Amino acid sequence: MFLLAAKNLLRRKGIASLALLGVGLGSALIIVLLAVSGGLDRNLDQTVGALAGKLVVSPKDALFGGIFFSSGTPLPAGDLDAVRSLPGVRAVYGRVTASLTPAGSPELMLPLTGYGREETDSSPYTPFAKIIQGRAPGNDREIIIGQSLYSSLSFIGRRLEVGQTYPFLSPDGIHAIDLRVTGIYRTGDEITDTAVAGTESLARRFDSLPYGEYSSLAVRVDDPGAVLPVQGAILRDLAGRGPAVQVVAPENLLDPLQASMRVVSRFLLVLGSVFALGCAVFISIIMSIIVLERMKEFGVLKAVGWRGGHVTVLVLLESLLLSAAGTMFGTALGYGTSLVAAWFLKSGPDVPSTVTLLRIAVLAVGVGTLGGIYPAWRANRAAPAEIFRHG
Amino acid sequence: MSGIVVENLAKVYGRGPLAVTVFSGVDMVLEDRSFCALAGPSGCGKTTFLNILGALDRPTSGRVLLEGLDLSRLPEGQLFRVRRDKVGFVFQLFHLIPSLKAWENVLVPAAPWPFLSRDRKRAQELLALVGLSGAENRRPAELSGGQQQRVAIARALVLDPPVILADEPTGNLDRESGRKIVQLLEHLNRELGKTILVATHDPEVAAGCGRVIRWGPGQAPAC
Repeated sequence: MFLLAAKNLLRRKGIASLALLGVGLGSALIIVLLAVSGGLDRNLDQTVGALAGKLVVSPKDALFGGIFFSSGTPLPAGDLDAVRSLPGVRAVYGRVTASLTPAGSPELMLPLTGYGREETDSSPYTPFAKIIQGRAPGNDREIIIGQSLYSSLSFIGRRLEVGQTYPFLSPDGIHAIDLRVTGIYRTGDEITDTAVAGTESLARRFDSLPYGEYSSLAVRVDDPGAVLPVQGAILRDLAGRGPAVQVVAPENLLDPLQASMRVVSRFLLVLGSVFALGCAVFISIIMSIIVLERMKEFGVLKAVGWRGGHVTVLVLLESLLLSAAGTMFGTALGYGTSLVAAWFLKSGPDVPSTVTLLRIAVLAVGVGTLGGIYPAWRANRAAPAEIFRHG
Repeated sequence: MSGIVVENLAKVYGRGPLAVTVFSGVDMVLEDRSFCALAGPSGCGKTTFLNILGALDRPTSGRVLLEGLDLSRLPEGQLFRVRRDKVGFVFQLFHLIPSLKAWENVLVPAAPWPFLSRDRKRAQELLALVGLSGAENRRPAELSGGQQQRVAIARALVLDPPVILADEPTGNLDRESGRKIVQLLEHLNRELGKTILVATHDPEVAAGCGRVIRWGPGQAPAC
């Protein structure tokens, strides 16, 4: 019967191809959605993991807790020494942040973080220690670029290539300063990976910030689980000392983002389910057309000794074969698309796992069965007596 | 008792004033191994009669004994066994499956169950019996009308039923091909001992059968 079902599908190549294409595109879309959802979750998890146990001390008037761009009143070097002496603090580094504008693209503002020699020499977490292509900057005219920013710029056609030198607008907005891109880094923290990194003195040059002052302080605590007590201790210690400060745990800033991501993931899941249901309806329509064309044939099959159940099984088998073939095509298409997107966007969609592909296979069986129920019921109702009566 | 016995059979479509009586009060005995024609003009109820004999339809009243089985008493779920084991159908329009080869079409009645290599051999033997040796792998589109009807006859024989019911088996064929089909049915009756009933409007086809039952519109068949 399996052979008969397969041959029956091949009899109507046009309509079977249409169904195959519809189901294939639907399942490819489901796979891409799952890959995108998986990629988003992975990136967020990595970022949260990389930010665990970190605090950013910035001026009270700095935007976004001072973790993106430099803004607000600079912090004196004395604050750095004060925080360093607090219990539970493992390391404190002064950070200078600025914005870089490529000379040919005034609409672009790339966040630049300057790292001091003390931090780059001792910390294994800075972009200088996370180079994935090229090398770390060796002087004040060299920069490295985060992988996510590199991908985004490539996507919009503003590539900054390793080994090339590009002019950037100086703080006066008139002159250009040539900077050489020496490498690409990836820390796993999306905030850091969506920026440019360079030496502290380079950032000071672009932010016009004198030595002895910092845009913010990066604090690493001894125990990632004890961020809150240290946060309170810093606030108490710096109160009334200089400019008012805020102490932000970047990890906590991502809480609303995590909540949003959960909503997005659920939405993608619902969207995938809707596509699966759409595929079932599509299969049902196509199989209904096929069945209506073949009612006489089903009548003949019953006349030569088939049970109604045999006819039902035949149509369900055809429906399953159709959805299985469509899903195989769609899986290959979706897997290929995810693979290309993951390679092209680097930190974009996940490559679908074997488990995901197995789930899709199970879904195909479900879709095929669901889509075949109504046509199979119609086929089962074929009355053989009508065959003789109408020739 | 073997063969077919029909007692006081009636078939009425619809109810009340719109009811249409196709036939009523039909009594008939078709002996085992007989070769009989049911002759009459189109629209007189031959096909409906064949449907009832072949367990495809139920009579309004009366009863049919097929190979000793009372079809009117059998539940719906058992009628398929009659169609599978007791009766082979031959249709005017052949009704072969276009995508299947000749030998595969012969095995269609057995398709719900797994094919065995001996089944293919059986199909080839039947095709040889109906004069189609060497055409086993041809599809219906590659066969003439007469050849397609021969494949349909082989299909009717595949489960070895004692009774063959043929509804206008030559109706879609030229005179010469039709004559050969009647000869083939006669051969099956003589050599294999099949009970064969052929419904036809063609007097020449009816004359080729051993016995003729004449049936006019609204009349009971007369032997």
